[in-house]
Amino acid sequence: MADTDMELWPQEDNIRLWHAIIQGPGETPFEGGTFELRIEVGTDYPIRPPVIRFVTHIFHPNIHFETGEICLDILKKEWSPAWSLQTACRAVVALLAAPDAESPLNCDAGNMLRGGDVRAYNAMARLYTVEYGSATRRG
Amino acid sequence: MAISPSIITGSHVLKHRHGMSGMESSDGEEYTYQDESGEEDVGGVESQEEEEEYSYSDGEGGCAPVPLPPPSSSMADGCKVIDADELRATMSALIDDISSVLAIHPCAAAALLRHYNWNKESVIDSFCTDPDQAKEKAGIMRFVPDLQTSDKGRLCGICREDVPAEALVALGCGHFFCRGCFTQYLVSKVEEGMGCPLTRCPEYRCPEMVTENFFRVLVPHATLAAYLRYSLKSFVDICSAFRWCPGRGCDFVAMGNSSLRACLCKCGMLFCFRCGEEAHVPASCEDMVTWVEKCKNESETANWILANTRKCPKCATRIEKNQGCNHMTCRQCKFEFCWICMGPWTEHGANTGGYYKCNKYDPSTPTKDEQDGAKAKAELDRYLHYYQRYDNHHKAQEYATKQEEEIERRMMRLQETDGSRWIDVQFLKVANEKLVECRRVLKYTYVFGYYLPEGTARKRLFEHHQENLEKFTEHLSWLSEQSLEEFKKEEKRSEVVNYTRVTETFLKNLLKSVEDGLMDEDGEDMEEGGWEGKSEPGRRAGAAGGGQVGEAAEEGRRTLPSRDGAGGGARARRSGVARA
Repeated sequence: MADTDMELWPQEDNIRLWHAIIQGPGETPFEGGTFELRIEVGTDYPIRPPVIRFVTHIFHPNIHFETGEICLDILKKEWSPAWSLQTACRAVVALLAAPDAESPLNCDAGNMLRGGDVRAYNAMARLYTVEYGSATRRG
Repeated sequence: MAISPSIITGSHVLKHRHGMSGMESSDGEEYTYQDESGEEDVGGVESQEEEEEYSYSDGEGGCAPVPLPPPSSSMADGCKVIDADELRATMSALIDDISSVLAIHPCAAAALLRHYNWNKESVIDSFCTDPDQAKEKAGIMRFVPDLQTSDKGRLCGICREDVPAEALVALGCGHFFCRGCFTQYLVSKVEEGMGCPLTRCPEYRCPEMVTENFFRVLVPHATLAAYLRYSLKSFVDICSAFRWCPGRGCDFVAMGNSSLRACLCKCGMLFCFRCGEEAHVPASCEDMVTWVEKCKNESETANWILANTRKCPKCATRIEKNQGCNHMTCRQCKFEFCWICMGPWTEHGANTGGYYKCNKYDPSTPTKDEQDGAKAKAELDRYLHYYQRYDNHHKAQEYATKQEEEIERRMMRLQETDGSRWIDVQFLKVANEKLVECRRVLKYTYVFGYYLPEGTARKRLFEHHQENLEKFTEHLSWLSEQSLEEFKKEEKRSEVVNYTRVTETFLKNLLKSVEDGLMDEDGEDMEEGGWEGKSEPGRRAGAAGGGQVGEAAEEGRRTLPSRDGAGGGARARRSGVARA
């Protein structure tokens, strides 16, 4: 696999269920953390996008803290069938570095950024990265 | 809310009044109707009716009353109703027009039009200013009318297979995919629905638009049909000059402009062109949005309260009416009152001779309950007043609409029994159609009235019109429900015909008045039209002294064309007298 900062593998008994470990991008509060993604690949993939969720808790305005749901246009409306699981995961990594406070799934994180309180956001995101961000490949 | 219902049964024979007879008739209660002789208003009505008759005779060469076809609703003018085929032709004509003016392929023209919201002028404008930018925005920068074929085998960007040249296809942008993947992609876009006319190349963020030709070549027949339907649908949704008929299962489209308040579809649905709901004159679209929202929020409380309980107007005991007539006697304080208006029953009898104005909301009555007389409560009462009447007229409208078949049967029977011609019995149908229309307008007058500020001359004038229309609608409703025996008499028929006309005049007066006079705040900002200026002193007087509504109304009416104006003036004078 070309990306050294990413691991991507299918579940042994199910080719439609993939897992990924991504690394928090540098110069972000997620730096040094590792996060597990769960990727459901439908029968109509790649015409329709895969469903990607965070398994690891993460504090980010566009990621639901409990369910791990991701709000990212290229995983919904802007999906292109010319994309792969790897490019999709890379887009998720890019999202970590570029949060969009305008469409928050995590309102606390969104409000901090919208209110301009970057220090508080960084501190909270860092706290949760240290607390949860140490996912490793299982199985 | 803490309510301890004390159950009370109505114990007197109910005599329905003008105000509510239409509504009550729908619950199957037997009732007798009789004009209360000596009532000044009704007296006035009779004489007005004579005036109407004369004036109509003048107009029609003295052969009144002749049953005429229903007067065309002036509100529905200026609106053309077309079917899907005509609509498709209109759309194609527009595309062809742009195509020939700009000398581009029709598919490219369609993409441009879609991008510029089907606005011909802005397409031509933008294209002439900067054709490249316009093409770029519309996704036809590298437009080619037909699929591109590859000169060599490549990797398909979707299935990642090596694909031979002959199985590869691309749009003008040259992003090649295998035919199967491309087709699958297009089918999935059509399955997604509405947005499919704006499908772009499958390559990430490639702006090239997939035009109709590609769908035609690639997708199966059923999918293409769906695509064309969505394409037509988005055309109507985007163009402000078109509006789908909101009628159930109706596929007709109305052509008009947003100043149209009412549009009559071929399916019989009368709807507002601007918002696509049932026509709601005199209430505005904005009022309707707020009203519907309010009704949704309050509906649970309001419905329960309306359906189950009322306060005794004297001792404020909550009362649940579980049977019987509207003449109530409170078990607590023995107060006798009317269940509809909650006023004392003594004001309802023939002996007092007063026509009870049940359409008016008097804020002084419900707030007697000063103990918990919070503002919110008064507001709820105010809302309930309007909602109840809105709802009553709504039900009456539905009832009158359902009556249509029954009316047809009655017309048949009437023809059979006394050998009338078809044209002779039309008056029943015409009357019922007028009833449906009046009920609908009356329903929305309560929305309009709810948002009209209390205590203004405008409101008084409006309520005056409303009251007139309500009164005549109820009477017409009663008249047209009489037995067929009655209709064998010529004078009964004329009465229905005349009442239909008079009611229509009142309907027009109300709508005209709202359109002209009520729209401006207490006579300010009046610029256009001489009559408004003239009527101003009258209205000011109305605003100053409560008893002069009649005069104000008269001033307003003078401006109405010819005979309506004359009759209306007389009418207003009478009602002015009646109230003084």
